[in-house]
Amino acid sequence: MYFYIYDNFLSEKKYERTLAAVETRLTDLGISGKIGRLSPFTSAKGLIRDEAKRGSQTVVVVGNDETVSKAIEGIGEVKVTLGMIPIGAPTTIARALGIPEGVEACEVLSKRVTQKIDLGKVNGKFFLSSLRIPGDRVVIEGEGQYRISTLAANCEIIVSNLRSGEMLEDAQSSLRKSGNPMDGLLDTLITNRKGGLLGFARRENGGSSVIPLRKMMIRSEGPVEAVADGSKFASESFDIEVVPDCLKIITGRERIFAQI
Amino acid sequence: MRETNHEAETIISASVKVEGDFVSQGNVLIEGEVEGSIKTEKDLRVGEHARIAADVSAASATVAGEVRGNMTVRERLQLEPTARVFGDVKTKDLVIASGAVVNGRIMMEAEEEAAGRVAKAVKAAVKPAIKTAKVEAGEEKIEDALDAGDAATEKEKEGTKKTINAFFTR
Repeated sequence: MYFYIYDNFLSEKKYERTLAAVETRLTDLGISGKIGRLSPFTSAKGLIRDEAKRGSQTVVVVGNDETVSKAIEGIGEVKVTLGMIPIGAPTTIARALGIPEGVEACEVLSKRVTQKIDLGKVNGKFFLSSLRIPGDRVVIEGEGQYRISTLAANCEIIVSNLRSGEMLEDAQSSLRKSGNPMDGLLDTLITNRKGGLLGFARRENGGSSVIPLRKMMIRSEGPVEAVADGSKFASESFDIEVVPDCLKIITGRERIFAQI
Repeated sequence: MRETNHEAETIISASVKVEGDFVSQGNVLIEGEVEGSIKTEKDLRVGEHARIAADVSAASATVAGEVRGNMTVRERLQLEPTARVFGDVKTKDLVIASGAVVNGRIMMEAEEEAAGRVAKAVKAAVKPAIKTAKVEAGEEKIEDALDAGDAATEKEKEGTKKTINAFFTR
């Protein structure tokens, strides 16, 4: 049984046509199901929990990366399969999973090729793709055995489970091939950011570090704003770990990991 | 199908300092500073500007920077012209480029193997010797026992003779 979660922004008129086409295609493929809509008063976590209790085995997120992030928070604790229909922007997570945008995603859903992947956990919250923390004056304690300190100012720490979007485009070739969400590790990427023209941040390629870790603690001198899969939160200490084999997810042939 | 993490790459760049016991399952490239110990199951590369104050253990290694600590490399250790190693080196295959500095003892596996062979030979020689010694000791004991037995018999005989003599005297 499929359960579809529509993000709040999909009620905008510009998405009407795409949604109608998606719904028609899902009916044709025989995989239509109940629809739940997110709103400021309805959390994805609550919807998923209720539907899992009612017997839904597949939850399909319809929306962008932020919608996926909202769903992951609830799905990490419930044993259901996650699918995606990317609509809107950004959709880097879906792209990394090999899922095309809009109606074409329905074909991937119907084929139902699944992979069991790891999830990251920061201060008790699940994340699928990455966690970004400003890296100035922070210390990383890796596996409880060693300390990593950043020597340069203006650093950024990206703890990545599934390399997608910006990371794939910027990273050195050696960094690009190692990260995947099925290795039981989180890749800790430490990069230097330099102010570029017109105030845009530019990343230095030569100065990036990548350290695969299972567990780490990141502490900073004061509260810093971190971004996990697009959602922001502030803290001065981040307890991070990988939860292996945590999520069963529907993927397309163009996924960036576990390619046949 | 689940993928293994053997191909994981670790890069410690010049802007990062690592302190403690660093353990990795995959290839490690160090361009920054490391203090403590480094252990990897695969290849280690130490960049030209890297500074390592740690004991190093790796399957193979290429060093172009500074290492202060003992190095144990299972397969091949390659020291580039800019390499500076201050510590003992233990490896199977060593390549030192002109200009590289090594201050420490170098122990190749051939020497270790030789040491191992000597140890084995000594062990092999010692074992039979111990056995012989044990056997000899056993024989001596038996002989002692036999001698003791003979003495007892002679004493008994003498006792009997004395009794007979006493009977005839009466």
